[in-house]
Amino acid sequence: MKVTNLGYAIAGKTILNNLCVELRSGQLLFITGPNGAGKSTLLKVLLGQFPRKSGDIRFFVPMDRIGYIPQLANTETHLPLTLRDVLKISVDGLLNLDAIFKLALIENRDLDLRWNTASGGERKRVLLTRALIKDPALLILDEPLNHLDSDSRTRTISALRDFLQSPNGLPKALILVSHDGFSSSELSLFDSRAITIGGG
Amino acid sequence: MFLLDLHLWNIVAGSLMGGALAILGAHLATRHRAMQTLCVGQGALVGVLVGLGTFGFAHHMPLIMAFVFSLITFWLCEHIVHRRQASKNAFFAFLFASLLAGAYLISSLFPALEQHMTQVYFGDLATLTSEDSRLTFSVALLGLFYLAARWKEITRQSFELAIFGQEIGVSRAKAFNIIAFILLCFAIQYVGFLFTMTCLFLPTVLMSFSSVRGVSAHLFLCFALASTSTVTGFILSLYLGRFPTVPTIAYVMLVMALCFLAIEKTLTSFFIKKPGAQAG
Repeated sequence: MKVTNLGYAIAGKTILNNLCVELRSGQLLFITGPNGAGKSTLLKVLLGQFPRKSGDIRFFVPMDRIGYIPQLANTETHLPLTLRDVLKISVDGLLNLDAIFKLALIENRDLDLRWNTASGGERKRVLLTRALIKDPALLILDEPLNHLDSDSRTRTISALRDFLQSPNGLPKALILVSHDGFSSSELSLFDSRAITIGGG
Repeated sequence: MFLLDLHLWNIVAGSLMGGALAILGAHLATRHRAMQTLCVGQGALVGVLVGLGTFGFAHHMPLIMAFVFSLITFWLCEHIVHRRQASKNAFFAFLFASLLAGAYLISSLFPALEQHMTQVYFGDLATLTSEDSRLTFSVALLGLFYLAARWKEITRQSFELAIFGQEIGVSRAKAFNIIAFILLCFAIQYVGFLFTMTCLFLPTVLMSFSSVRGVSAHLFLCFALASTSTVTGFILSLYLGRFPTVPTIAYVMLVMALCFLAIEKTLTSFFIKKPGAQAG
């Protein structure tokens, strides 16, 4: 992905100004900044959901190979979906359980949990599994580490590192938004680049 | 038996339409569109009345006007509500009250419509002509076929719209919206507002209290409840002459669902208590 001189403004307020960034295969682009700085907005501008004011965005992968997990707007659904349902509706054919368990984000006993009663960590891990089983080339995650306990956090970071190491040899890249950041030991696991929004 | 033979097509068409609406309603409720559907339905009802008042009983005009008015209501909902997320329900309540007042105004302008308005509201399932029954049956069958054939895609959309407030990737919700629209307008015109709203939301709300897990089981229960209570309520109203058809169906649905939930709860507590009793 290559972004050149990207600008975005809403209601006369400049959110992004002349942003330039390049992301290569195997890299993590880490976007951080305080609440309300425009981190999620940047993702929506990159994905074309919000119109950019200036600049150019080029993806070197087809748009249907881009996986995206936005922040949750609601935590519950009216339909009584199980975690198995959430995975089943996301794939075209039958669910490949071996591939799912290989990601080590969820276990067999979790699959029959109801979405509405699963914990925040279980929900986030199943959403990440859902994105990873589609084998995206570029994965864009908005606050995937929010409210995770240490076990869920470790499993999530480990799955993301495995994703970038690309076991099938295909190019992979990751864009991740987080307001609380990575520890230096977590960051050392990745070939990463960082952008701070709203912090100069 | 004579009454049953006479209304056989009405029962079959009503039962199938009820089942299709129940599955549709489960998805609409998940997409937070129940109040909007109530308004769009009321818009369709105003359209039916305008069609009848302006063009007389020319066969397809009420249906065409139902489409036009419900489209306008849908457009209003989409464009105004998206700018005022916080007061969404208040806006829907305002819109519903305005359309309700509009329906009464139209019926007072055309006095011949008063009887028809009551029918459109409380249902004219028993008075459907054979041709109308077959049309209702065909539309319901097509709707069911679409909902069954695309269930994964539709459930994925409902899930993403419910938890993210948006679809991930290219939006494919247009086809679902069109099918929902067609089913809604046909149902309002041919089987009435009360039957439509009852079948859309009663089964899914009642079955959400069930301990049954999984989306397929929930959708099957909604379909089964709407279909069987339409058949049972219809037959009951035929033999108990003073009972109007659609309100009877609505209360049969409620009673059947409560019985199901009570039996389920009893069985569940029995099987949960059993190991404890053995240990004691």
